[in-house]
Amino acid sequence: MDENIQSEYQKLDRLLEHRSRFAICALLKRYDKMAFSRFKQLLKETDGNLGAQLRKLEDAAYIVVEKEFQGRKPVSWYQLTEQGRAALRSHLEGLEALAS
Amino acid sequence: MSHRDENLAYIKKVLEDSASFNGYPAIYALWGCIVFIGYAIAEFQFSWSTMYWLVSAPVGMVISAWIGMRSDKKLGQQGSKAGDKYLYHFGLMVAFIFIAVFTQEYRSILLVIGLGYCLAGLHLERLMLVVGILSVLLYLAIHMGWVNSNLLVGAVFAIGFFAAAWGSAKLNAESAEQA
Repeated sequence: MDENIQSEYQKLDRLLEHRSRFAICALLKRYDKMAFSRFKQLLKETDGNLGAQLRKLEDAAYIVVEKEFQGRKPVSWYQLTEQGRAALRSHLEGLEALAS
Repeated sequence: MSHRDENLAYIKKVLEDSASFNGYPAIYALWGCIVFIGYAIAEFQFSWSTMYWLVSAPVGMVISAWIGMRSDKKLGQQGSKAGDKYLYHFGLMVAFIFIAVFTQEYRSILLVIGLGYCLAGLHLERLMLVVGILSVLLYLAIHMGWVNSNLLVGAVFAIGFFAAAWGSAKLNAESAEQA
């Protein structure tokens, strides 16, 4: 494999290879905060699957969660961290380089 | 289509869905009222007009921003970058209207509003085209001498805003049903 292509492949983030996790980070780049229910509506995932993907991103410190109450209803708001932002940037650069 | 291309198409669709937006009916209704009252004042107490617009335009913008943020939070998203676009677009439009008022070019206000809303209809929300086209038609009708009542202009304008509010409510309900 060409050395350049290999170095671009290394830029790809394994965690963001999964489309739901990639989509979550892309959405959080566009919006400062997003709620679990909105992710569920946009990604059309089940609660269990979405929760698992979010937890993986949280464990990698790509996102942080903040819980609040809206009336009596608990709402989980997710936010991209600097580390997550950098990982997304690098992943996008890798994809772009591979595409060209 | 490769697996990676499929994933990218999925992410593109998710991002488009998050931004597919038909406006907030309450904001259209608010501006329908502000505009109607403004033109009614111009009809009956013209000397109050400048003061009315100086106060109602910025206050209306602040209330619109508050409605937008509140509705976004209810939907489950906060801090959309799109909000900045609205702020710059309508901030500039209001600045141009103030220049028209300052130079007493009152007739061109409708043309500025028409251009502002037509461009917003192309770049921000399609329904804004309704208000934009209506403003330009009103400007032409006044220019041709077919309309010379501020009250009538205000009423037609308000109908345009309320029609956009109705359209916005209908389209938002349809997208919620599809989701």
